[in-house]
Amino acid sequence: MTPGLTLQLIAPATVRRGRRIPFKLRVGNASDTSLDLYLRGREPTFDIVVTDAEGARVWRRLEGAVIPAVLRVLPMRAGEVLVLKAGWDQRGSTGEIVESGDYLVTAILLTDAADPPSAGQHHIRVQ
Amino acid sequence: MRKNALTSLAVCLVVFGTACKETPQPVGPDAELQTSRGVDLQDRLANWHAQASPEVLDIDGTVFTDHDEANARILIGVENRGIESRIAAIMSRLGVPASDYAIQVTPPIVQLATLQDKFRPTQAGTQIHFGLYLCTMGFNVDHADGRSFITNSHCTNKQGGVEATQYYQPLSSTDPTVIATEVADPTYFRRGVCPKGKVCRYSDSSRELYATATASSRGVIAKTTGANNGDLTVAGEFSITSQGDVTSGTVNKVGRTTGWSSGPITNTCVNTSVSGTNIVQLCQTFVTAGVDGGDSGSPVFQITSGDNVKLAGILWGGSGTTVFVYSPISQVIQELGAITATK
Repeated sequence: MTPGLTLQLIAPATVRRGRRIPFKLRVGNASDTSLDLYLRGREPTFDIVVTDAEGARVWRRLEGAVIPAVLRVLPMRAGEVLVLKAGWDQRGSTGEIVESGDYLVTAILLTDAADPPSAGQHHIRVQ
Repeated sequence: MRKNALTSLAVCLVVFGTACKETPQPVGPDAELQTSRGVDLQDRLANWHAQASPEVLDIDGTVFTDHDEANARILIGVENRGIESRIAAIMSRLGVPASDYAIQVTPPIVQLATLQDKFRPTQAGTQIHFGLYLCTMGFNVDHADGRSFITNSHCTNKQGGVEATQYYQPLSSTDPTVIATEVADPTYFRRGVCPKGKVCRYSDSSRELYATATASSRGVIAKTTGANNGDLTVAGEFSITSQGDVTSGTVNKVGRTTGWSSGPITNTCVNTSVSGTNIVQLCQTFVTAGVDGGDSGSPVFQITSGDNVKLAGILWGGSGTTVFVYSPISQVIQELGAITATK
């Protein structure tokens, strides 16, 4: 990951089954110098992957999505933070609302890197 | 390091005179150099090298000259033995004994360019820059309006419509010359075959008219070291010998981020929704091959024989990093007018 770049996924710890879950990805430059991010798409784009307690993937935000392969150069000043938002209606890949239980959420920022940066896993309980 | 050691020794001799010889632990990396014989020899080699190097390097076929301290000699690299006698004449004239230099045959050292470097004349498959974005130069063409290149509509300041986007290659920071200006980018249409609430086109393409001073190579695509290896080093070129739609088999692309990718066509004439927009690209082709941000605009082609290729279209997007989507060349022509991309 680019030195100084920080990613933090913000989401509720507990949600009611069937309710839309809001996600925020905070992308920050924690260094004391400016840095350039190379982001895929006309606008900054991030993926979200939700897995169940057994590690099976139940939903991926960009599953099958076709994204323009343009690269945006985004200069970030020291200390600057970019907030990206998305949501999940709790419907899995099959279209059904997922069962109550524990889920892990990972957010990935799309860049030109073969191994794009991701935020640490976030635990969500659906009840 | 050797220079520092010699400098220290010289200072020592000037300041302390003979007291230097009594220093119990001489400072310096190489005790051998501090013997008078070693110093004399290395000094003579350094002087000879300084005198000989400009003359020797002036001979075509000389690769390098080196004061080879470790082996106490001057080493000269040449592409072939044919220039050996000319070098020997120079060394003889300077009084360098044959035992104090060696000539060895070595491959020429070439500067390797990548797809993200500057190319003049410009070549398809290399990096272009506009606004805050990077894309790939699709292909150079002849058009009734003049010499141009093709890239994506979304590789302009505004997707659909002409706003005279200015382009740099590879970056405005490394070369501030505007190489071309956007002159054609049809607007997206509603209704008809376009789904309700969407805007559509048959290709994600635009045309950029070259500045008079910018040289371009038509019919050439930069070729890297191999397909699907991720290498961006340019090692040759493909020749576009024909242009037309390809509906099956393996196709290739060359782009500034993932280089040369190759894979099978999996779907044709797919109406494709563009993520995060209300745009639908009609009748597009899907390929299982590598892609990533910055590859937009990549020329898509089928290899016909050797390095000869048939230009098939222009890449504009991808699903993940293993499936790319491109607009067939017939649909690019349908929207931009007649263009010739062949050599």
